Amino acid sequence: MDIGVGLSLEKNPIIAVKEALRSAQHGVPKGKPDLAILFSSPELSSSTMLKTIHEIIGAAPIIGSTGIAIISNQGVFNQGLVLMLLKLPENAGIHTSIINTLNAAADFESGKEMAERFIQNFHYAPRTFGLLLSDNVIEESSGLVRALREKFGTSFPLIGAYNSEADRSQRNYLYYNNELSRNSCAAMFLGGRVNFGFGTKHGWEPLGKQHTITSSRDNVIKTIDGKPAVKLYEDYLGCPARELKHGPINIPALYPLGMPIPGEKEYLLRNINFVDEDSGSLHFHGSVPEGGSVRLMIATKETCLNAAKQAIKQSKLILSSGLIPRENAKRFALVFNSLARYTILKKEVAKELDIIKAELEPGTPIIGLYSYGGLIPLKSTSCPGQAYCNNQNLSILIVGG
Amino acid sequence: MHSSVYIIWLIIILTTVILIILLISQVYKVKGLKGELEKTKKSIDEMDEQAKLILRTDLELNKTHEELDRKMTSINALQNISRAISTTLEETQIFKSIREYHIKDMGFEKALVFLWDQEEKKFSLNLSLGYPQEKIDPIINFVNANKDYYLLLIKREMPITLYSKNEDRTVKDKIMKALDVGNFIISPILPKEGSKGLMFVGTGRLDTAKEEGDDESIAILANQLGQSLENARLFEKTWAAQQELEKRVEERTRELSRVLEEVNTISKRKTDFVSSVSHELRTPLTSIKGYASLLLSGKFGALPEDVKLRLAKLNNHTDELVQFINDLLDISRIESGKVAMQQGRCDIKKMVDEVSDLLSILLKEKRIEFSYSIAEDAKYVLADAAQIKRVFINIINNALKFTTEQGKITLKSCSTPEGIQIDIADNGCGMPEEAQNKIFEEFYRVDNLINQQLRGTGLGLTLVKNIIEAHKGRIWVKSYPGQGSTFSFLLPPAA
Repeated sequence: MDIGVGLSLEKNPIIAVKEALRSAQHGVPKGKPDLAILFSSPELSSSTMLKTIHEIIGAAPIIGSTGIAIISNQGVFNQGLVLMLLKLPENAGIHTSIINTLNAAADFESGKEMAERFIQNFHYAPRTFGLLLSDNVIEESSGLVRALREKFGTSFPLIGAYNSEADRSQRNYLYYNNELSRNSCAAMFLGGRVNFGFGTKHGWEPLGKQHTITSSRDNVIKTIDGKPAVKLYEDYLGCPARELKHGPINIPALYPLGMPIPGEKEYLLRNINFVDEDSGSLHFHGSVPEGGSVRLMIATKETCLNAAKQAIKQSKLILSSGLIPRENAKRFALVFNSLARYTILKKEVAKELDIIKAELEPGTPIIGLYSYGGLIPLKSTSCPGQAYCNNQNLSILIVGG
Repeated sequence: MHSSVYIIWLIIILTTVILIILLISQVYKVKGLKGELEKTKKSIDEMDEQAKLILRTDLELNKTHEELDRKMTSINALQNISRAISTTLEETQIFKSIREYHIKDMGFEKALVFLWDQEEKKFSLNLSLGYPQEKIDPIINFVNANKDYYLLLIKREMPITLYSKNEDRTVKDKIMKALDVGNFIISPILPKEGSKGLMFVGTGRLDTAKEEGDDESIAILANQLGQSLENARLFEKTWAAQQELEKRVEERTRELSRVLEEVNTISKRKTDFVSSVSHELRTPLTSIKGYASLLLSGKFGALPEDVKLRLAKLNNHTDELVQFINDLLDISRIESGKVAMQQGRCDIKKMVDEVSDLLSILLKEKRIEFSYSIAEDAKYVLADAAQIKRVFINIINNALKFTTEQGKITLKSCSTPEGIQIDIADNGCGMPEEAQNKIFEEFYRVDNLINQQLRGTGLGLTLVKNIIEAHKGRIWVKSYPGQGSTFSFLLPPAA
């Protein structure tokens, strides 16, 4: 596998992409790349930029997204773009696809169609993993995920990141070939003789007693312990409901709700997206089942950084159990980080990246982005299990080697 | 039968008693467990209260940390802007130095700077950050439509914010609507020089709460802007004045160069004229002197005594005239560079001895004491011996002339960083200060009794000066009326 990475902090998207391409092309010296992965800050999003990539590298598919910040070996930047070009080994292949209009009713059918297209066009075995990028929340219970699991099996690893903007001022876009898309989900499936490993952790710990969701629907909790959901925050934090979203600090990111998952040590985190001050209900970036237990969660910079260490170690552990011989094989890492961690770690986001770099072989290309949430199986070296929608996790995917 | 019934009843009673006892003990146990449960519940509740305390403390810490971080970022941004705007002295460049990220780091998204144009009687926009082009003109129109209010703000010299209590709410609402902000600060820019103005900053988010100290930060920034504008304007003024001055100096220099060139031309003409006239005069004078000498020698027969007397006078006057013409010729030759100094190692003592011999009769006649001292390291000069002897003769002769009987003339040589300095001092009548500046000019003679009685050309010291300067030296005089004069000159030392 040949891997080339280019970073640019230029403000003009065309100049930026050309600069990144120049560096990335060094890593793919022979032939045309099979795939381009592009992450950028929102203000650089432009379809001309995508056309420029195609003009230079040929018809290889492009997949990517804008994010709050981008990640590269050189650091974390809230303005810029990072591009990865991949030339896969002969016995491996990729398939990319997009669902252009996401809606709850049609997602299952769209997902099924996507999976069928993949099965028809894809002859590489084994099917390694699927990468999903979206500008809407990707729920584990969504029609799309259910359809993919039905077609590929429950143990097929689905990994993804999403940027649902809610009240954010800057618009996020998906990159798919020559198009900028919104309200879409772009997918990439990798198969063949390629090893991979993934890990995910957040670093938040529960505090206080368990409470029960007494009334909820989809991603909205109406009541907890029979009281308006917002009362839980008011009671524990002593701050008015308005301060939850409009206060001087990002309270939902600092104190998310944690939901225990049977068989998992870590809690699944849910981050408040919107507070309905009139009804007292809370809207989250992810589903919150009625009858489930929740606890308020707390973290420090240390627990977050420690989680990063655990996530990269978990990725390496899964990678090391890969079936493909590792001699001289190259590898790269895709990092999906969350806004909440960016809020907590602030200037120390670089430390988190250093932790990841320290655990990887020197020079391993790293690209990634900060998003509002992701989708990834929470554990298991033997069986990846169900992918969960998470809000505050650091997810690392290592491919190759 | 009875006994078996009795046994059965006994068993029943015993069993009932045992059951009752067991029941009672279970009841007690349940009561105990209930107590334990209550205790556990109480503990959990207590722990939950502690959790609340921890969460609230953590929240407060996070808020403080956030506020501190924000303040630090704001101070850094303020420092960066200050650095950026203070590195330029050009007014337009000052505004270009303020970037959108500076304003964002200070916690704002939008910024505008208006300056009052006194001539046009309107506000002009000098900086706009965070606004699309199409919004600019409506904002300028809005500010100028309400210019009286904004001029009043400048006059009040105080920043206003959305939270200022003295401001009318409707005015604030209009500002928010026109500037498309949810929160704003307006601070006056008050340079001492030139037009004053206003700085607007704001956030687009309607929900943004006011942060403490924001208005002070913006007031500091506006003040810094005012100072930078003031510096730029002062610099502009100074620069313009300097340019004007340079232009004038250049013009005056050109004029002076032209005048100097004219003076040089005239001086050359004068030198040439003096030189040619002197030459023309010397030839007939030589003949006159020759004939006068021949007549006096008696080769053409004895002459009556009164004719002899007149011829002798004619001879003397001719000698004086020849000497005068020679001096003139020498001066013009030295000035025009026609006379090259034959520089060599000259022994000062030897030259002084020869000159004192030459003047010994005059010295004796006036009973003037002549003495000299020559320092060990100032014995030799690199000079044309014949010319320097003329210098010694001229100066000592002058000293003799202006020193009364039994006076003193001293000569001293010493080594200085500039060369060998020779001082010739007398205790004669001296001269006033104004005469000291003119003494070396051609034909200048100090106006005193001695000069009125004795004849002189006024060329001696001019010749001396020219000779010294031809040796790359310099000459000067210090004199005090009634006390005497000291003529000093510098000559290059001989190795």
